[in-house]
Amino acid sequence: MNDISRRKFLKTLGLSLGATALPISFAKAALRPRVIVVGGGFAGATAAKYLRLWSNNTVDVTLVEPNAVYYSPILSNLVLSGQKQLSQLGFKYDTLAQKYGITVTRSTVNSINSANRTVKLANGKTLGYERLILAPGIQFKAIPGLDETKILHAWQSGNQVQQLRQQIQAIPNSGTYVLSIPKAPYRCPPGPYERACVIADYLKRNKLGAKVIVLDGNPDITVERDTFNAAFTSTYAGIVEYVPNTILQSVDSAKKVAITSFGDYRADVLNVIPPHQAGGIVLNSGLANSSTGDWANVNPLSYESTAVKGIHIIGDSQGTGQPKAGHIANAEAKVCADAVLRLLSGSQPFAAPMTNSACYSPISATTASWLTAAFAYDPASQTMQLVPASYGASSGASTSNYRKMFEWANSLFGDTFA
Amino acid sequence: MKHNKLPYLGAWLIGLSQSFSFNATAADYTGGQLSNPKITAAGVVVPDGARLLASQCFQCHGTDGKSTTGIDSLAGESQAELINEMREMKAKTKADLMHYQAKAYTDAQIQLIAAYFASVSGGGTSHHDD
Ligand SMILES: Cc1cc2nc3c(=O)[nH]c(=O)nc-3n(C[C@H](O)[C@H](O)[C@H](O)COP(=O)(O)OP(=O)(O)OC[C@H]3O[C@@H](n4cnc5c(N)ncnc54)[C@H](O)[C@@H]3O)c2cc1C
Repeated sequence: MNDISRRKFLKTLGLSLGATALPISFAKAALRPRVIVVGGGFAGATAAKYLRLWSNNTVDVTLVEPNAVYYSPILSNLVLSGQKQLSQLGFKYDTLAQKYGITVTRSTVNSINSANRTVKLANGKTLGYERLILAPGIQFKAIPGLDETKILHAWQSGNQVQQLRQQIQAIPNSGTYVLSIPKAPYRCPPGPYERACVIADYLKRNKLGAKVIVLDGNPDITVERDTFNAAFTSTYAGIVEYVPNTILQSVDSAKKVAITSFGDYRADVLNVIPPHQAGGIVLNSGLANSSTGDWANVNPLSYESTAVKGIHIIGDSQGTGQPKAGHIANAEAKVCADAVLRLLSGSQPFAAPMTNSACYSPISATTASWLTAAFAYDPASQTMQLVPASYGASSGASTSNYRKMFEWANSLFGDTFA
Repeated sequence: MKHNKLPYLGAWLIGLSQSFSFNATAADYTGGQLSNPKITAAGVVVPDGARLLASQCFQCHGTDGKSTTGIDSLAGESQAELINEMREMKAKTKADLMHYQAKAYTDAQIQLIAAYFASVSGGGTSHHDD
């Protein structure tokens, strides 16, 4: 990049020319810096959009994603109860490509060469980058006997949600739906309890005598305890049985039996959400360096990996301890995009970033609850810390929250995909 | 409304204690200080972090504060009015999502955020009336 174009680049970023040495890779690079974003979920789509928007299109952004349509896990429990069609939760990448000029490549990143700053795609192509952003979501850990074609998780939306809907519709009267919840951290803290409620509501209205058994790997309901406890013991009394501290040990997939630390549970529909870890590309690239080896430790000012320079990890795969959720994945993506643009121009990331989280949970066909929190960067510990006064939940479930849930989700979908 | 008990934060906070090992010190980040927001006439270039802070409102209030749903737009609102609304929400203890969010921000941060939205042209017409 010559001096004039560099000055122009810095100017469009609104950054001063006072900053001197450019990172070597950037100086060597083609005229326009290249950023590759891997994964087009809430984290990756937001990062790609804001890199273009905030650089006034002076940075080339390639979004690599294997699926033509992204199905949102947010609101997907409503597909199980028939209140939403899966197609209503589908988002294409056309708007991101056309409105923001993002190059959308339909493929999977198979490997990373961090020394050469290249990625290799499943379609055989190799792409070069100045900065790489990984947003691959989660993958599931193996459970002995679990056959994913028979025992569904339906925790990444899409086809599995449709299939679980069909399984639930086929539950006989007096049948049993068993849900296994993994130990935290898992994606969307209230999500499994929300699912138990939504399915209990459906069974209550459609399947006489049918039951929901919740096998929780955690010692108690992890969030919104008052709301979910009231739902389980009052709204759905006699329908929901909640069993805490229940670790799933193995599964008999043919007979639909959950073998747990508390004994065996036979189900008509067994729905196992296995324990999570970072997406495969993060694990296989040596980036999952958290204490458990499951998540990627990052500098929360930029989401740059603490293991490998030039690679940033956002969304459910990162290990800052912020909740694994779509709203805050979008928040992290903005902090990351802003930092990447500053780093590309030789400047430093903003020193005091904030993020926030919001989850709306349907509790019945007409009511919902919410949970919210904000996080602030703490320079002393160099971590994102919960701001205690910002952490709160709705007082139970209400019909007005149910309406607000769709406003919130549509806004988030718009800020991410449009 | 009963505030959800802090012990149930467990699931959210696991991993927060994990240590990080990057090298930069606070002094390296003077470029990101909270003072002296530089907002151009176009209102787009805000290098000191005001834009980034304000972008945390976009999830609900729309990209650049231009809402596409029933939630209020913030773009083009007066800085003073936005500051007053945030201060009011900070002061109240209402079981309202935005009242909790308001409590996360310092007065200095609120001023930057409000300055950013005030600087965005072609703003929304809706208006927060809490
Ligand atoms: C039932 C349910 C309810 C929820 N409700 C809420 C809620 O109310 N609020 C909230 O904030 N969150 C909620 N969530 C959580 C939210 O959906 C996730 O946290 C969010 O999707 C995480 O975003 P992500 O971008 O990190 O990952 P994902 O959304 O999983 O996206 C990852 C993408 O990366 C792609 N990918 C993976 N590997 C590669 C590769 N190697 N190359 C290319 N592409 C790759 C995948 O195809 C995928 O599209 C809910 C989740 C569930 C299941």
